[in-house]
Amino acid sequence: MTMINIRTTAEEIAKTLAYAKQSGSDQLIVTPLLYPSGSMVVVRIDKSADGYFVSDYGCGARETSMMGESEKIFRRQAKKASELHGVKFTEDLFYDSDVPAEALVGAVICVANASKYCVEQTALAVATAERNTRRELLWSHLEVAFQGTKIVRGGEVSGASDRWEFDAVVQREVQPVLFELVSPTGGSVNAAVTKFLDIRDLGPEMFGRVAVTVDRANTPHLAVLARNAQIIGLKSPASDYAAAA
Amino acid sequence: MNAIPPDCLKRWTRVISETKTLAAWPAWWEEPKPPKSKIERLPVVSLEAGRYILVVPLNDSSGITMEGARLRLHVPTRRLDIDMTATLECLDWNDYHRCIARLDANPTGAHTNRHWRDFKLPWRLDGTHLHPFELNARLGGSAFTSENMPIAEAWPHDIRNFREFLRSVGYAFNIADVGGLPPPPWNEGFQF
Repeated sequence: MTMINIRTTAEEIAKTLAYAKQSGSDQLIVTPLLYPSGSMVVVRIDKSADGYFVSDYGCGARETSMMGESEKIFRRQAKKASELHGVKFTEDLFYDSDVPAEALVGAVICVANASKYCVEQTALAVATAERNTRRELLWSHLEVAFQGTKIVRGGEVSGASDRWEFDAVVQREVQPVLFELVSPTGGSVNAAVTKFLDIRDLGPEMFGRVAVTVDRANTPHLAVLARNAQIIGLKSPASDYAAAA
Repeated sequence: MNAIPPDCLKRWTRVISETKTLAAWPAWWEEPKPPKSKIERLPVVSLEAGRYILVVPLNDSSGITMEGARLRLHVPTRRLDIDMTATLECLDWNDYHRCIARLDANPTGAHTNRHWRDFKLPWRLDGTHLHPFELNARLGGSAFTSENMPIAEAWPHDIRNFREFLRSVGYAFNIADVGGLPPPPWNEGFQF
């Protein structure tokens, strides 16, 4: 009797591990796989001309974006995850296309596992990552200060005499703004002054010029730097970045 | 070491407990952008995974912008009033922005509490839920990095639309004027 009850229980559990769900016109399968946060992995299936289209519904990318500053790591991990599970990845989506009906179960399993694996690997990489460069912190601040505006990371700009790379170029319509990190050394200040001077020679209104000091108190020749650019600290609030531009 | 450095924990606790206000009035942007050179390959991709995002820095109760503290809202571009998420983010001990509290409104999939027994919580949450700072902080630093806020509690209020979502965000994260944020640029006439 007990054996029968346990078997019934096991069968009930097995039947409820995954379930189908409709969201608008989307047909979804909620799988028992878990992302690190505890959210269940969801897979979407859709009919296409040559079979079925199976995707992770963008949930892996969405899950990762909640971790903060992890999108780039996610995309790096996605290539490995898609190869490992035999599925495809593009933009923010794991998917398999033109899946015949008889292979749908396998495709759902592979897409779900690729998405889960990628988010897990991203979470581990994020946990052990050190801030790579001060540039990343600068870019992070700029994203907040200039939301919706294109930010070129490490963009090149031609000055009056030469072509220069800046740590960031904010492509504002009214006036693009150049940001350059300045370390507390004479060489770093001299390099920034040279760049800004050459850009300024195009005309003072052509580009906004902002020097971003890492350690302002110990940065030499600030007065010279200030003749060619606005100066703010790397850890200034977003409002200072916007105001300086 | 899994412990959160004391100075970081102190900063995060202050950000959570402080009555905050918005430090800017930003616009929504769409992510991911379709790659211009490859859009002919699979245009459905960006439609399905697309989301609108809004990030806004936060002021403390005296009106001074708090370093690194910000609110991030995510909503799907083509699905109305579901899968809406708000995260409260702060800089960590490595100057990385970390999510320290999260509200998931009307999620597509259920949430599973791995630590349900230790925290006396339901093992599964089907609807809107909050990943609270206080409970997750008890797990140490990994809760905010590799575990991605694994503990959640059911949210007691129904969220039927974006306005109600903002109201809940304000209540969950203690942000006084969040209700004034603009709605995402959804075309509400569409049936997706």
